Amino acid sequence: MDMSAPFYQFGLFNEDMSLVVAFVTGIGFGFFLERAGFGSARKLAAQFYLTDLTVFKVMFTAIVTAMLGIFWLSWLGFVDYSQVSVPATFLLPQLVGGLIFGIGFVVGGYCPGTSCVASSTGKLDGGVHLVGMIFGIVLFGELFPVLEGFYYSTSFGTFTLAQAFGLSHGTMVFLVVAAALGGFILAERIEEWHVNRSQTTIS
Amino acid sequence: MMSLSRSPQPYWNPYLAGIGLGLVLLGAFVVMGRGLGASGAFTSVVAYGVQTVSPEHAQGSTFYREYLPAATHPLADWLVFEILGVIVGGFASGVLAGRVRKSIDRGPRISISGRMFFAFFGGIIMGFGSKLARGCTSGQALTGGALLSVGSWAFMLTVFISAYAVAYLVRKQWT
Amino acid sequence: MSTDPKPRSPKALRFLALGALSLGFFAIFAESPTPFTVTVDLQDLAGSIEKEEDHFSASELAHLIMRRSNRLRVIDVRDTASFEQYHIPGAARYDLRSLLRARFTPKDTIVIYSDGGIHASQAWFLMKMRGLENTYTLLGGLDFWKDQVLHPSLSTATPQAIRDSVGRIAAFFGGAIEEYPELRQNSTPPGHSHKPPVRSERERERTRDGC
Repeated sequence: MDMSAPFYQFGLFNEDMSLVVAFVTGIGFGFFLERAGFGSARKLAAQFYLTDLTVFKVMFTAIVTAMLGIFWLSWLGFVDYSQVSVPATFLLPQLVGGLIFGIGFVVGGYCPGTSCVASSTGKLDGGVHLVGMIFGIVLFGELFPVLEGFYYSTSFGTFTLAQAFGLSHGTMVFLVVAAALGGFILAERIEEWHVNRSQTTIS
Repeated sequence: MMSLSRSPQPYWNPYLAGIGLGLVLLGAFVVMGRGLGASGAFTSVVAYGVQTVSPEHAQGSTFYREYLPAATHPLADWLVFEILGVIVGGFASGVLAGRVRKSIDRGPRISISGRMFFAFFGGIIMGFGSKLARGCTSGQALTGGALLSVGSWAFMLTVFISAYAVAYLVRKQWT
Repeated sequence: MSTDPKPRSPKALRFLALGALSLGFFAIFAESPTPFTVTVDLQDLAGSIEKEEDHFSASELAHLIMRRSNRLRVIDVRDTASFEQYHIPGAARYDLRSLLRARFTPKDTIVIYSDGGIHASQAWFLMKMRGLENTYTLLGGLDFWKDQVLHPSLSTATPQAIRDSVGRIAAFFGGAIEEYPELRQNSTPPGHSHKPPVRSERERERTRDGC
């Protein structure tokens, strides 16, 4: 077989090896989360008071980077895009789940990944958040029989923005890049405005 | 910790950290054909816990069973190992930057017990929401975002909407 | 806490932003990522059909679902209305066109069903052409599923052990056994027979369309 990515999907290594890959991937993930300052709840929460928009900037830079990367690598024929699993869309549960998640984010101060980084760098509130999250998952698991109908409702399968807007994949990629760059310029303006307004350096 | 005496280094420029994060995500796409995740790992842990306490209860629930593969140990899961890596990677970065120290992150206007209550309570809400949405900031926002999944973008949108809407109510905790 | 002195390097950042923008711009004109071309071995394909390796029976599928195999993808190719009315738990609906673009991996076990089976068979062929080796159809489609898994009819004379196991499977999917008094010929328990249930000629006609 010729070299085709995703390597795992084409059977270049087995399940055991995939766990090693998982661990190494996680190290990279955790490293950059901590570098960005996401081990700190105050830094994360500042996003929602518009004093520090790092969350937005990091998140969308990562999305744009990975999106452009996977698009062009598959265009070059290096990656078979059809073998990359796109999270399936269940519109209503995801909209409502997002509403609940957002409340948890600003109340608790972390999201699941960042609470791990916070815990491992000694933040006790990060550990408490993690324990709370486990309780939340148990709560969901116990209520699942009641929620099941809603959980599986409004299923669209694999459904991309390009399909939704009737655009080509490439055009959608461009629109996301343009929107993100516009967002970054706006984010810088908002931060500057806050610094000027309060005179004291928050940053 | 040797790093305790040093003063912490500044965080990286957000765009550079974002590119690093994006390249890790891209690496996962290329090598594994899948993205990152976090809440899924904890669901495996929860399912395994329920299975240990009450096997019948776990097997009777379609939700837990999904996270209990018959062939392998439930914790021999991709996301579980990835999260172990996240803990190690975060710690390594923290040590190198002199940021590892026992502390509680909170604003000046809230007590320690108050902050701990919020952290726990927020954790419960977040755990519940992440399961309903089938993922979190990693599995949905980053992974599905980069792959242009409609559901993931819908999730991202409502996360920001509700967080901004509720932020004012909990401002004492942070500012 | 965060004494970030904003070590701005606007030039480098502007360069990166420009790079991203141009990569995004040229993406408009780039061909969309398409799956690799696959070569299908027709002999092999014909062989697997002949050897009946191309399908699962309703009870085989029921067991697969109950075992919660992670790689199982159950695909419903009927219309939205029928899907909303009833579908096999965990199934996802695709029309044939979106099925061509949907993301699957060669490791996924894909089981396609329609009402009768013809539409599913057509979809099965498309999936095979995409190089998705582990694609199967559900033998007899949703009709067999309902008759053999959801509402299996058992004679009152069926041994209790069989009734229990069949009943458990039916209950798992929200159905129940339907009983009828013992007839002359012994009924075979569902799942052990590929015999289609008796149906009116008109109904047969309807299901022959598949979708």
